Amino acid sequence: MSDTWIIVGISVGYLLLSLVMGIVPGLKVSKSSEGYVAGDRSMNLLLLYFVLGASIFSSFAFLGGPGWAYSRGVAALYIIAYGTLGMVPLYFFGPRARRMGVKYGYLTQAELLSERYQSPFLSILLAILTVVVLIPYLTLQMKGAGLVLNTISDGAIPYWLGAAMAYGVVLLYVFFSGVMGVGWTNTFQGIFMLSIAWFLGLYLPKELHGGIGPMFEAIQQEGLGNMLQAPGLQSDGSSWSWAGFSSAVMISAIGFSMWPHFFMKTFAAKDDRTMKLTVVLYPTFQLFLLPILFIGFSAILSFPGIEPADTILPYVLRNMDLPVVLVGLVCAGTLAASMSSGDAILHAAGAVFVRDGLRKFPQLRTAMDQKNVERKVIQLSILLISILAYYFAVISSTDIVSLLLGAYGGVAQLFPLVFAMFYWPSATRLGALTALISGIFVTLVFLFWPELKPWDIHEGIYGLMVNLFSLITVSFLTQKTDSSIVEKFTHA
Amino acid sequence: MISKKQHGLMYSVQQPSKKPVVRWFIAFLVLIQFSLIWPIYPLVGYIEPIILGMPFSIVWVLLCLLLSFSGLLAYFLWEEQGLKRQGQEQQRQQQQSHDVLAKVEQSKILTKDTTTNVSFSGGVKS
Repeated sequence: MSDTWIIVGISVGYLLLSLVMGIVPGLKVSKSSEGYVAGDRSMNLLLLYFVLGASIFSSFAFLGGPGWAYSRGVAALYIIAYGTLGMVPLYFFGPRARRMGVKYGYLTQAELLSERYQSPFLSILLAILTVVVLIPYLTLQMKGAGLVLNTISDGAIPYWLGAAMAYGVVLLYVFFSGVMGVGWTNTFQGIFMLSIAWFLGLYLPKELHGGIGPMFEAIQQEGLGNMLQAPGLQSDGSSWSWAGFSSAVMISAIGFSMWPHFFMKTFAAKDDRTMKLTVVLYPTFQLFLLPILFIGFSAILSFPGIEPADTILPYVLRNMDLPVVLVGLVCAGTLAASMSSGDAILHAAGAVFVRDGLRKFPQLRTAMDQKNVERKVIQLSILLISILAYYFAVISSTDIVSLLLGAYGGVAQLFPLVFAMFYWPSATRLGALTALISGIFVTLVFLFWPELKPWDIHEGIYGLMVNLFSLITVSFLTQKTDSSIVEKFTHA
Repeated sequence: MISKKQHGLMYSVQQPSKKPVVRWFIAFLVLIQFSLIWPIYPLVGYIEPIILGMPFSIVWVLLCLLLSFSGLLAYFLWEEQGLKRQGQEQQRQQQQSHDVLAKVEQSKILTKDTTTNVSFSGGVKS
């Protein structure tokens, strides 16, 4: 019993520290929406690196990653494979978007797109889609946090309370500090979870098998060699096809930089150099997934048959005779992974909903143009969104990974629009709208009816093909966008 | 006025030398991407040889990660150097145009002097 409370104590200590780290920096930025959404465009390399790194590594990485390695072997490498180049588009788009942000006051991705394609409808559509996708994403993070606190405390902290504790803290610092709260907590959480991941990823194979080499040797000797042979297994235990693996990596790599909570951080960068250097250094963050996967590999032989696979990390922690302080730290590290994504998602969902959705209605816009009203509306939306996500987290029962894979297919449909925005002057409004809508439609059709697919590749790839085709043909058939507007983007 | 001119000049100086490098860089990125999926990864994604205790299927992905990091870093440094050189070039040009202006100014004064002299002498002559 006392052990449990030491673990809970460490986690609560971590939560309090996050709260302080989150509230203090918010006091320094201006009270405007620019301060709240883009931190007055002042983020330095350290902050930007951790904001982008830690907000992608979520409960999915900390719970889903070991779960994949545990149940599907090297198939889990797909996470490293798509992240290797997933950020690179921002090397080219980021500085352009940033400069336009400084010049014209943009704060979100949809603001750029709706200006380039001259369509407030596109902006509203993106706002709705963003909120629709980000709420389940946030729900997953909350579930992760609830699950960890519940498992680790042997049920002393109920699931609903665990999720509420972690996300109560997130709500507080996002609500008061905006993006700067996200930035500083992510730096703290990022460093914390990196250290935990490396320690655990090296410690567990050593404890259970005597090292990394012996661990893989043992897996091979037990006749599980097919788990170590690329591309690993499917969730039913059969070998994954190359077409399935390759298309999943491709679609995730294309969608990676298009996540709204990710792309909009380009507007927070201090200068072009910071933006580019963040992309350059990003693969160093990817390396952190390796020890995470080792955790899953180490459990294959020692703890067989655990269902669902996502719970393998908490299961291992509870069933090994580990020092209690270590278990507490790992617990806090997992919370850090969940919260460092959840805060960015929550913040982006609120900001996008207001900037790209509500502001497009003229009556609301005039009301929001008054001093700091917009900021308050964003704060209110953040509160409502977190309540909604919490409601889903506590009552719904959806699998973590499949939801995320589905969302990546949808988000990737933005890529052609963003690319054409900067590099293809002939793209038109109707071209962009048909491309986006048809791409998402096709993706959803194949997501819900996979038996209709002609080949076994990710549904997002089909969507992308239709998307590109529509963008090109419809753009050629419709009237060109005013060149003065197009040049703002192509010469940015 | 002057800055616009320099901007145009910067473009004409920069573009021919920059484009091939950008193309090579993009080709490099595409190569890395295909090394991580079909058709290259299936050729090497086996357990043997084991390196540092890890199956080669894992080592290969790590190698790609390392390579893409080095490539990105090299490209960034190359761009950075280009910008620096451009800055120096611009400064030099500014200096030059400044010198030229100064010379023109000087020669104007000189011609003014001579014309006054000439007209003066002419005046004397007539």
